[in-house]
Amino acid sequence: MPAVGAASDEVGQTRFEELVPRAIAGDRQAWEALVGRLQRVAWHSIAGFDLGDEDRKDAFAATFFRLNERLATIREPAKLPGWVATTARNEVHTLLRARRRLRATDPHDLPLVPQPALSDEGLMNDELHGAVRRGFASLSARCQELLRLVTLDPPLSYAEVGDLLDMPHGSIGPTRQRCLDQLRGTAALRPFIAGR
Amino acid sequence: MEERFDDDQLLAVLTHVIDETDPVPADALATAMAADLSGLDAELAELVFDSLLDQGGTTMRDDPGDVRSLTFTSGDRTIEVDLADGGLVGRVSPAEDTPVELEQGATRVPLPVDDLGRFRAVVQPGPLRLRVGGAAGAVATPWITR
Repeated sequence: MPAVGAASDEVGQTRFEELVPRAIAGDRQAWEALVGRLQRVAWHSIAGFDLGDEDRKDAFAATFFRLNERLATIREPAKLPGWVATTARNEVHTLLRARRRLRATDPHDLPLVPQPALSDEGLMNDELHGAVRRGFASLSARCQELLRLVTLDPPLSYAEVGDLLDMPHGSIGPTRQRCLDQLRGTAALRPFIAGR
Repeated sequence: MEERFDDDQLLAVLTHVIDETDPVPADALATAMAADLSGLDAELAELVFDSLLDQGGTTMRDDPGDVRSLTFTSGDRTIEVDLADGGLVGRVSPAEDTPVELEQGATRVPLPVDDLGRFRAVVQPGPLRLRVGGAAGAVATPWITR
C-alpha cells in the first residue's frame, strides 16, 4: 500500500530498512525522516483519551525517545508503524496511571472519553470534507478510534489494529465496514451519498 | 441509489480530514526530531522495579505528592531513583567516581554525585532519563514517562 502523505523528498521515500541503520550511525537526516514518516501514526493512535494537550505531546515525544533508545533492537523495520502505535498507547497508559486516572494494569484497558467538537475555523474549504468531519465527530468513540487506526499513514495491518484494540483480527474488517456505513448514514454525509 | 464514493474514497477523505482537524503539533514534532543521537552506544539499563506499574492499583494513594520509585540495573550496577513532581533523588551503586547526567528532551545536565553515589536534581515536566558514565562503561536508563 502506498503511503498517502509520505514526504516527497528523497530521504522521505527511503525505506525504514535503510533509515534505521543510518539513524543508529548518527545520521540526523535519517532520524528526522523516520520521525516525519511515523509522526501521524504516533499522534493519531493516541487520540480520544483522557489526557491534556501537554500530556498527549509528552506521550508523543516519549514514543520517539523510546524508538531512539531501542533503534538497535529493531529487528523488522517494516513493522515500525505497528511498534510505534503500540508504544505510544503504552505511554498513554503509563501517563494515565501517573495522573491517577487509571487503576487498571492491562495496557489494553484504555477508556475513551468524549472529545470536544472540532472547530470549524478556516480548516475546511471543501464541503465534502466538512461533512466528513461533522459525520466523524458524531460517531461513537469506538468507531472513531477504529477508523483512526485503519487510516494511519503508513498503514497498520488488521492484525496490528486487532492487537491494539484487543479485538479478534478477523473482526477488524467487518467492524471497519460497519463504522464506515454508520459514517455514510450520518445526517452530515447522507446528502453526499444518495443518488441525486 | 448511487454511492458517490466507495470505501476507499471515503477512507481517503477521512485520512485527510483527521490530519487536518488534529494535526501533529509543531513543538511536539520538533522535540521528537531533536532527540539526541549521540548516546546510542550506551548500554541500556533494565527497569527492574517501577512503583507506578508494579504495585497493585489498590495500593495507590490519591496524593499528588506521591514519590515514584524506580530501580534499573546493568551488569552489576544499580541505579535507584525516587521521582516527585519537581525533583528527583537517586543513588548509583557501586559508588565510585561516576558521572551522572540528567537528560530531558535534547538537554543534558551533569549532576553532582557524593561519595555514597547519591545525587539529586530539579526536573522539568515531561519524560526524562539518566546517563551514568565511568570506567565500567556508559549506561543509560530507558526513558521514564511521567
